[in-house]
Amino acid sequence: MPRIAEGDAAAYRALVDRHADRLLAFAERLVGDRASAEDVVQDAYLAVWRTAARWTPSAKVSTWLYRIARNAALDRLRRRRPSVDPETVTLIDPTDGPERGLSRRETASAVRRAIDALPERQRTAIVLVHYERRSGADAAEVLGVSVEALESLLSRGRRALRAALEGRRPDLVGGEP
Amino acid sequence: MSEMTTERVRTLIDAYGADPERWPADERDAARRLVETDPVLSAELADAASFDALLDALPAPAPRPALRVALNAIPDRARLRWSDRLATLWPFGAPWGPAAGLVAAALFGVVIGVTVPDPAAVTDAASSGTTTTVAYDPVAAVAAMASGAADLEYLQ
Repeated sequence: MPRIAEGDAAAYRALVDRHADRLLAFAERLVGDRASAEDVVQDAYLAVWRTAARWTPSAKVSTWLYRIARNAALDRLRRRRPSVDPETVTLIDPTDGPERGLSRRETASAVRRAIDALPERQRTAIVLVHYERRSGADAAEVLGVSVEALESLLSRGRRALRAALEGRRPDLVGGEP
Repeated sequence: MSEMTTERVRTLIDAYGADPERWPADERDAARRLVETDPVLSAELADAASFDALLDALPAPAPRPALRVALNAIPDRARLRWSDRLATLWPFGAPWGPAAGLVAAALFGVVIGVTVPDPAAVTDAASSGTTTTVAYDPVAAVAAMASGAADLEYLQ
Protein backbone atom coordinates (compact mmCIF):
# COMPACT_ATOMS: atom_id res chain seq x y z
CA MET A 1 0.00 0.00 0.00
CA PRO A 2 2.78 2.53 0.72
CA ARG A 3 4.13 1.89 -2.79
CA ILE A 4 0.70 2.53 -4.28
CA ALA A 5 0.48 5.73 -2.24
CA GLU A 6 3.70 6.81 -3.94
CA GLY A 7 2.18 6.18 -7.36
CA ASP A 8 3.64 2.73 -8.08
CA ALA A 9 1.36 1.36 -10.81
CA ALA A 10 2.93 -2.11 -10.67
CA ALA A 11 2.06 -2.43 -6.98
CA TYR A 12 -1.45 -1.25 -7.78
CA ARG A 13 -1.84 -3.85 -10.52
CA ALA A 14 -0.69 -6.58 -8.15
CA LEU A 15 -3.51 -5.51 -5.86
CA VAL A 16 -5.93 -5.76 -8.78
CA ASP A 17 -4.69 -9.26 -9.62
CA ARG A 18 -5.08 -10.41 -6.06
CA HIS A 19 -8.46 -8.99 -5.08
CA ALA A 20 -10.48 -7.83 -8.10
CA ASP A 21 -12.38 -11.06 -8.69
CA ARG A 22 -13.45 -11.38 -5.06
CA LEU A 23 -14.46 -7.72 -4.91
CA LEU A 24 -16.52 -8.16 -8.08
CA ALA A 25 -18.34 -11.14 -6.59
CA PHE A 26 -18.91 -9.20 -3.37
CA ALA A 27 -20.18 -6.14 -5.24
CA GLU A 28 -22.46 -8.14 -7.52
CA ARG A 29 -24.12 -9.79 -4.54
CA LEU A 30 -24.58 -6.41 -2.91
CA VAL A 31 -25.94 -4.41 -5.83
CA GLY A 32 -27.67 -7.25 -7.64
CA ASP A 33 -26.42 -6.86 -11.20
CA ARG A 34 -23.21 -7.25 -13.10
CA ALA A 35 -23.01 -3.83 -14.76
CA SER A 36 -23.44 -1.95 -11.48
CA ALA A 37 -21.01 -4.30 -9.75
CA GLU A 38 -18.33 -3.55 -12.34
CA ASP A 39 -18.90 0.17 -11.81
CA VAL A 40 -18.59 -0.37 -8.06
CA VAL A 41 -15.29 -2.20 -8.43
CA GLN A 42 -13.93 0.51 -10.72
CA ASP A 43 -15.01 3.20 -8.24
CA ALA A 44 -13.37 1.22 -5.45
CA TYR A 45 -10.05 0.80 -7.24
CA LEU A 46 -10.01 4.44 -8.28
CA ALA A 47 -10.47 5.32 -4.61
CA VAL A 48 -7.65 2.93 -3.72
CA TRP A 49 -5.35 4.59 -6.23
CA ARG A 50 -6.20 8.04 -4.96
CA THR A 51 -6.34 7.40 -1.24
CA ALA A 52 -3.87 4.58 -0.61
CA ALA A 53 -2.00 6.89 1.76
CA ARG A 54 -4.93 6.61 4.17
CA TRP A 55 -4.45 2.90 4.68
CA THR A 56 -2.91 2.09 8.04
CA PRO A 57 -0.97 -1.11 8.75
CA SER A 58 -3.38 -1.98 11.57
CA ALA A 59 -6.02 -2.82 8.95
CA LYS A 60 -5.86 -5.87 6.71
CA VAL A 61 -5.59 -4.78 3.10
CA SER A 62 -8.41 -7.10 2.07
CA THR A 63 -10.70 -5.80 4.83
CA TRP A 64 -9.91 -2.22 3.84
CA LEU A 65 -10.74 -3.05 0.21
CA TYR A 66 -14.05 -4.64 1.16
CA ARG A 67 -14.90 -1.54 3.16
CA ILE A 68 -14.12 0.74 0.23
CA ALA A 69 -16.12 -1.50 -2.12
CA ARG A 70 -19.06 -1.51 0.29
CA ASN A 71 -19.02 2.28 0.44
CA ALA A 72 -18.93 2.44 -3.35
CA ALA A 73 -21.83 -0.02 -3.51
CA LEU A 74 -23.84 2.00 -1.00
CA ASP A 75 -23.22 5.10 -3.06
CA ARG A 76 -24.55 3.34 -6.16
CA LEU A 77 -27.54 1.92 -4.29
CA ARG A 78 -28.43 5.34 -2.93
CA ARG A 79 -28.41 6.79 -6.41
CA ARG A 80 -30.23 3.92 -8.05
CA ARG A 81 -31.57 0.84 -6.34
CA PRO A 82 -31.55 -1.66 -9.19
CA SER A 83 -34.45 -3.95 -9.73
CA VAL A 84 -33.03 -7.29 -10.71
CA ASP A 85 -34.69 -9.15 -13.48
CA PRO A 86 -33.99 -12.79 -12.67
CA GLU A 87 -34.16 -13.65 -16.34
CA THR A 88 -31.08 -11.56 -17.04
CA VAL A 89 -28.90 -13.32 -14.46
CA THR A 90 -26.75 -16.14 -15.82
CA LEU A 91 -27.08 -18.97 -13.38
CA ILE A 92 -26.67 -22.09 -15.47
CA ASP A 93 -24.58 -24.83 -13.97
CA PRO A 94 -23.08 -26.78 -16.89
CA THR A 95 -23.03 -29.97 -14.81
CA ASP A 96 -26.80 -30.02 -14.58
CA GLY A 97 -29.18 -31.74 -16.93
CA PRO A 98 -31.90 -29.61 -18.54
CA GLU A 99 -34.63 -30.21 -15.95
CA ARG A 100 -32.32 -30.14 -12.99
CA GLY A 101 -30.68 -27.02 -14.45
CA LEU A 102 -34.02 -25.28 -14.75
CA SER A 103 -34.83 -26.05 -11.14
CA ARG A 104 -31.47 -24.79 -9.97
CA ARG A 105 -31.87 -21.61 -12.02
CA GLU A 106 -35.24 -20.95 -10.46
CA THR A 107 -33.89 -21.66 -7.01
CA ALA A 108 -30.88 -19.44 -7.61
CA SER A 109 -33.15 -16.64 -8.80
CA ALA A 110 -35.25 -17.01 -5.68
CA VAL A 111 -32.12 -16.84 -3.52
CA ARG A 112 -30.98 -13.77 -5.46
CA ARG A 113 -34.32 -12.03 -4.87
CA ALA A 114 -34.39 -12.98 -1.21
CA ILE A 115 -30.89 -11.60 -0.66
CA ASP A 116 -31.78 -8.41 -2.52
CA ALA A 117 -34.77 -7.94 -0.24
CA LEU A 118 -32.67 -7.97 2.93
CA PRO A 119 -31.78 -4.71 4.66
CA GLU A 120 -28.36 -3.61 3.45
CA ARG A 121 -26.40 -4.42 6.61
CA GLN A 122 -27.89 -7.89 6.91
CA ARG A 123 -27.20 -8.47 3.22
CA THR A 124 -23.59 -7.31 3.55
CA ALA A 125 -23.07 -9.51 6.61
CA ILE A 126 -24.44 -12.60 4.85
CA VAL A 127 -22.44 -11.94 1.70
CA LEU A 128 -19.20 -11.40 3.60
CA VAL A 129 -19.50 -14.40 5.91
CA HIS A 130 -21.37 -16.97 3.82
CA TYR A 131 -20.27 -16.20 0.28
CA GLU A 132 -16.92 -14.48 0.78
CA ARG A 133 -16.03 -16.67 3.77
CA ARG A 134 -14.63 -13.73 5.71
CA SER A 135 -14.18 -14.27 9.41
CA GLY A 136 -16.68 -12.72 11.79
CA ALA A 137 -14.04 -10.27 12.99
CA ASP A 138 -13.21 -9.16 9.44
CA ALA A 139 -16.87 -8.79 8.49
CA ALA A 140 -17.53 -6.80 11.66
CA GLU A 141 -14.68 -4.46 10.75
CA VAL A 142 -16.00 -3.94 7.23
CA LEU A 143 -19.40 -3.05 8.68
CA GLY A 144 -17.94 -0.99 11.52
CA VAL A 145 -19.75 -2.99 14.22
CA SER A 146 -18.81 -5.34 17.05
CA VAL A 147 -18.65 -9.09 16.48
CA GLU A 148 -21.74 -9.47 18.67
CA ALA A 149 -23.63 -7.00 16.51
CA LEU A 150 -22.45 -8.82 13.40
CA GLU A 151 -23.76 -12.12 14.76
CA SER A 152 -27.10 -10.47 15.38
CA LEU A 153 -27.18 -9.18 11.79
CA LEU A 154 -26.29 -12.65 10.50
CA SER A 155 -28.95 -14.38 12.58
CA ARG A 156 -31.65 -11.94 11.54
CA GLY A 157 -30.56 -12.14 7.92
CA ARG A 158 -30.58 -15.92 7.87
CA ARG A 159 -33.99 -16.02 9.55
CA ALA A 160 -35.39 -13.65 6.92
CA LEU A 161 -33.90 -15.73 4.13
CA ARG A 162 -35.29 -18.93 5.62
CA ALA A 163 -38.75 -17.38 5.74
CA ALA A 164 -38.46 -16.19 2.14
CA LEU A 165 -37.06 -19.47 0.82
CA GLU A 166 -38.78 -22.07 2.98
CA GLY A 167 -40.69 -23.57 0.09
CA ARG A 168 -37.52 -23.95 -1.94
CA ARG A 169 -35.62 -26.21 0.37
CA PRO A 170 -36.98 -29.57 -0.79
CA ASP A 171 -35.73 -28.73 -4.29
CA LEU A 172 -32.19 -29.09 -3.11
CA VAL A 173 -32.45 -31.31 -0.09
CA GLY A 174 -34.36 -33.93 -2.01
CA GLY A 175 -31.85 -33.74 -4.82
CA GLU A 176 -34.46 -33.65 -7.59
CA PRO A 177 -36.84 -30.98 -8.86
CA MET B 1 -11.95 -18.59 26.88
CA SER B 2 -15.17 -19.29 28.72
CA GLU B 3 -16.70 -22.75 28.65
CA MET B 4 -18.71 -23.59 25.55
CA THR B 5 -22.44 -23.85 26.12
CA THR B 6 -25.34 -25.27 24.17
CA GLU B 7 -26.75 -21.78 23.84
CA ARG B 8 -23.51 -20.44 22.38
CA VAL B 9 -23.34 -23.26 19.84
CA ARG B 10 -26.91 -22.51 18.86
CA THR B 11 -25.96 -18.84 18.39
CA LEU B 12 -23.00 -19.86 16.22
CA ILE B 13 -25.20 -22.07 14.03
CA ASP B 14 -27.88 -19.38 13.75
CA ALA B 15 -25.34 -16.74 12.76
CA TYR B 16 -22.63 -18.53 10.80
CA GLY B 17 -24.42 -21.63 9.54
CA ALA B 18 -23.40 -25.26 9.71
CA ASP B 19 -19.81 -25.12 8.47
CA PRO B 20 -17.48 -24.91 11.50
CA GLU B 21 -14.88 -23.23 9.26
CA ARG B 22 -17.07 -20.12 9.37
CA TRP B 23 -17.26 -20.15 13.16
CA PRO B 24 -14.79 -18.05 15.18
CA ALA B 25 -11.50 -19.96 15.29
CA ASP B 26 -11.14 -19.74 19.05
CA GLU B 27 -14.53 -21.36 19.64
CA ARG B 28 -14.57 -23.86 16.81
CA ASP B 29 -13.16 -26.99 18.45
CA ALA B 30 -15.13 -26.69 21.66
CA ALA B 31 -18.35 -26.03 19.75
CA ARG B 32 -17.74 -28.97 17.45
CA ARG B 33 -17.14 -31.30 20.40
CA LEU B 34 -20.38 -30.19 22.00
CA VAL B 35 -22.33 -30.79 18.81
CA GLU B 36 -20.96 -34.33 18.58
CA THR B 37 -22.31 -35.18 22.01
CA ASP B 38 -25.69 -33.47 21.71
CA PRO B 39 -28.27 -35.02 19.35
CA VAL B 40 -30.46 -31.91 19.39
CA LEU B 41 -27.57 -29.70 18.32
CA SER B 42 -26.60 -32.27 15.70
CA ALA B 43 -30.10 -32.07 14.24
CA GLU B 44 -29.97 -28.29 14.24
CA LEU B 45 -26.60 -28.44 12.50
CA ALA B 46 -28.00 -30.73 9.81
CA ASP B 47 -30.92 -28.37 9.28
CA ALA B 48 -28.54 -25.43 8.96
CA ALA B 49 -26.44 -27.43 6.49
CA SER B 50 -29.42 -27.91 4.18
CA PHE B 51 -30.12 -24.18 4.37
CA ASP B 52 -26.47 -23.42 3.56
CA ALA B 53 -26.80 -25.67 0.52
CA LEU B 54 -29.82 -23.66 -0.57
CA LEU B 55 -27.85 -20.41 -0.31
CA ASP B 56 -25.07 -22.01 -2.33
CA ALA B 57 -27.48 -22.43 -5.23
CA LEU B 58 -26.51 -18.85 -6.07
CA PRO B 59 -23.27 -19.35 -7.99
CA ALA B 60 -20.23 -17.13 -7.80
CA PRO B 61 -20.21 -14.43 -10.47
CA ALA B 62 -17.63 -15.20 -13.13
CA PRO B 63 -14.70 -12.79 -13.56
CA ARG B 64 -14.59 -10.72 -16.74
CA PRO B 65 -11.24 -9.98 -18.45
CA ALA B 66 -12.45 -6.62 -19.79
CA LEU B 67 -12.97 -5.38 -16.25
CA ARG B 68 -9.39 -6.33 -15.38
CA VAL B 69 -8.17 -4.27 -18.35
CA ALA B 70 -10.21 -1.27 -17.21
CA LEU B 71 -8.94 -1.58 -13.64
CA ASN B 72 -5.33 -1.81 -14.76
CA ALA B 73 -5.77 1.34 -16.82
CA ILE B 74 -6.81 3.43 -13.83
CA PRO B 75 -3.30 4.64 -12.92
CA ASP B 76 -2.78 5.88 -16.47
CA ARG B 77 -6.12 7.64 -16.47
CA ALA B 78 -5.76 9.12 -13.03
CA ARG B 79 -2.10 9.88 -12.52
CA LEU B 80 -1.55 11.64 -9.27
CA ARG B 81 -2.11 15.24 -10.18
CA TRP B 82 -2.35 18.17 -7.83
CA SER B 83 -6.11 17.75 -7.88
CA ASP B 84 -5.69 14.13 -6.74
CA ARG B 85 -3.42 15.18 -3.92
CA LEU B 86 -5.97 17.79 -2.90
CA ALA B 87 -8.64 15.10 -3.03
CA THR B 88 -6.80 13.14 -0.33
CA LEU B 89 -7.10 16.22 1.89
CA TRP B 90 -10.61 17.19 0.83
CA PRO B 91 -12.52 14.09 -0.35
CA PHE B 92 -15.93 15.80 -0.49
CA GLY B 93 -15.86 17.15 -4.03
CA ALA B 94 -14.16 20.06 -5.78
CA PRO B 95 -11.81 21.77 -3.32
CA TRP B 96 -12.04 25.21 -4.92
CA GLY B 97 -15.12 26.38 -3.03
CA PRO B 98 -13.72 25.60 0.44
CA ALA B 99 -10.32 26.99 -0.59
CA ALA B 100 -11.93 30.29 -1.67
CA GLY B 101 -13.79 30.41 1.63
CA LEU B 102 -10.55 29.88 3.52
CA VAL B 103 -8.85 32.72 1.62
CA ALA B 104 -11.83 35.03 2.19
CA ALA B 105 -11.77 34.24 5.92
CA ALA B 106 -8.04 34.98 6.07
CA LEU B 107 -8.51 38.31 4.27
CA PHE B 108 -11.34 39.23 6.61
CA GLY B 109 -9.10 38.51 9.56
CA VAL B 110 -6.38 40.74 8.19
CA VAL B 111 -8.86 43.58 7.57
CA ILE B 112 -10.24 43.28 11.09
CA GLY B 113 -6.74 43.17 12.47
CA VAL B 114 -5.63 46.41 10.86
CA THR B 115 -8.84 48.41 11.34
CA VAL B 116 -9.86 47.67 14.91
CA PRO B 117 -8.10 49.86 17.48
CA ASP B 118 -5.69 48.38 19.97
CA PRO B 119 -7.75 47.33 23.03
CA ALA B 120 -5.05 48.61 25.36
CA ALA B 121 -5.46 52.09 23.87
CA VAL B 122 -9.19 52.22 24.52
CA THR B 123 -9.30 50.73 27.95
CA ASP B 124 -10.59 53.41 30.17
CA ALA B 125 -7.66 54.50 32.19
CA ALA B 126 -10.04 55.99 34.68
CA SER B 127 -11.82 52.75 35.36
CA SER B 128 -11.83 53.32 39.02
CA GLY B 129 -15.22 52.97 40.63
CA THR B 130 -17.78 50.53 39.31
CA THR B 131 -17.32 50.65 35.53
CA THR B 132 -14.60 48.91 33.54
CA THR B 133 -14.37 49.31 29.77
CA VAL B 134 -12.97 46.36 27.88
CA ALA B 135 -12.69 46.12 24.10
CA TYR B 136 -12.57 42.70 22.40
CA ASP B 137 -10.63 41.19 25.22
CA PRO B 138 -12.45 38.20 26.75
CA VAL B 139 -9.57 37.41 29.07
CA ALA B 140 -9.76 40.89 30.52
CA ALA B 141 -13.53 40.55 30.77
CA VAL B 142 -13.29 37.34 32.77
CA ALA B 143 -10.62 38.87 34.94
CA ALA B 144 -12.82 41.91 35.55
CA MET B 145 -15.78 39.72 36.50
CA ALA B 146 -13.60 37.71 38.81
CA SER B 147 -12.37 40.88 40.46
CA GLY B 148 -15.94 41.91 41.22
CA ALA B 149 -16.43 44.80 38.85
CA ALA B 150 -20.09 45.70 38.97
CA ASP B 151 -20.60 46.46 35.29
CA LEU B 152 -18.84 45.64 32.10
CA GLU B 153 -19.23 47.76 29.04
CA TYR B 154 -18.16 46.29 25.71
CA LEU B 155 -17.09 48.70 23.03
CA GLN B 156 -18.82 48.03 19.74
